[in-house]
Amino acid sequence: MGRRIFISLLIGLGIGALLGLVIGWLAPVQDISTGFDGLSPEYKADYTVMVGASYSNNGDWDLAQARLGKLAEPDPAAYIVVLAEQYIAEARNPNDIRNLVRLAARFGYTTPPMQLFIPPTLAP
Amino acid sequence: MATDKASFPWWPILAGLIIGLTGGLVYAWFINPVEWVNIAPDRLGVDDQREYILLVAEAYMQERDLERARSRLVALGVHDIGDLVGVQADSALLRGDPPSEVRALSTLAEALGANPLAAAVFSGTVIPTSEMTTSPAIAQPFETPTPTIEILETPTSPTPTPTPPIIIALELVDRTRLCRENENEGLLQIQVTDRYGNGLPGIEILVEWEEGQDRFYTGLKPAIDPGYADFAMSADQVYRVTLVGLSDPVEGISSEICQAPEGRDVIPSYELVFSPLD
Repeated sequence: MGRRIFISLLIGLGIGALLGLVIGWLAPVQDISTGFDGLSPEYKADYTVMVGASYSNNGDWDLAQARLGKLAEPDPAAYIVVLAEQYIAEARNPNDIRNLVRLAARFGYTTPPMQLFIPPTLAP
Repeated sequence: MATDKASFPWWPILAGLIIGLTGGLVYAWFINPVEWVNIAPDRLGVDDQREYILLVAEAYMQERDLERARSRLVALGVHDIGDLVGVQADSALLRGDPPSEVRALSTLAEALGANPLAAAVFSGTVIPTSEMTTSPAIAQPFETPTPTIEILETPTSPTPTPTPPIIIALELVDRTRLCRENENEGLLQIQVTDRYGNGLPGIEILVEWEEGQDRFYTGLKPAIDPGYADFAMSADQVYRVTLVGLSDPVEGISSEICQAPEGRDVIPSYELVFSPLD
């Protein structure tokens, strides 16, 4: 009898724990909102494009850096360069490319594919 | 058989279920809560959503692509994106955020069909010029045609697109000091009008005194007048008022305590009226 009780208790515990985990993860009580670093790559890229557009408009480099920092990329400059080159390779919106290239150039990085998109004010 | 069912130990299962459920919930909610990755902007925290909206508005100022701004805002999962941006524009205005941010938000809100209070201050503000001007091609329809062929500029009709303010000089045309016991006690009331007496919103006002300064705009109290603004003075200060970039400073506005006819000591109030120079 004691063994049956023990096994029943274990079965109850297992089912209960499983239910608790499923319910707890599907219906969290804590704020599960996240920051810009949790955005999908597509939205991160669009966020970066917007930072570039804003920087083109207001020229506030400190603000642009702070905003890029929220993406928590280990190397923001490298991220911008890769993104700019990807946009160039995919023939995306030239205005977006110019904005990204402007950010990359402000970080001090320009690559051959970017040359066509370097804004005149930044050209040597 | 019936005896076996009756003796089945349900209570340990129930007890285990309750303990297990509690443990599972504690683990899932507090010890190892769910973390989202590869999310859309609708999962951003409130502050980051505000930042995102501001960024969309600033990008819109450069790109002028309303559909793109709209699709970016739709990613927030909000139904009425115009209102959302409008509310943020007004909040930014009331918080005294940088004018460029308020302008971007109010411009986008207006483009999305919202009508934020901030728009009265930061976009679409046109100060009428001293006289109406029209294209010669329209102004003189009965003029004898000349035999030469001229290329005339295409007459343009007024459009509702926001237009940057046309800067004209304004001067103080009336200055009244009142020493009365009423609700306006100690209030520096400023009224800016065009030459026809219509209130002009969006005029930046700088009030300076010995220990500090404050900047604000006409149009924040449209229920009184679009060209109205006020400032609560402290006792025994001397203030200087300037319409930034539009007027000379008005000096010597003293808030020295005076005795009202009713007998009580009060801070005087002032009414300053600015109008265009003739």
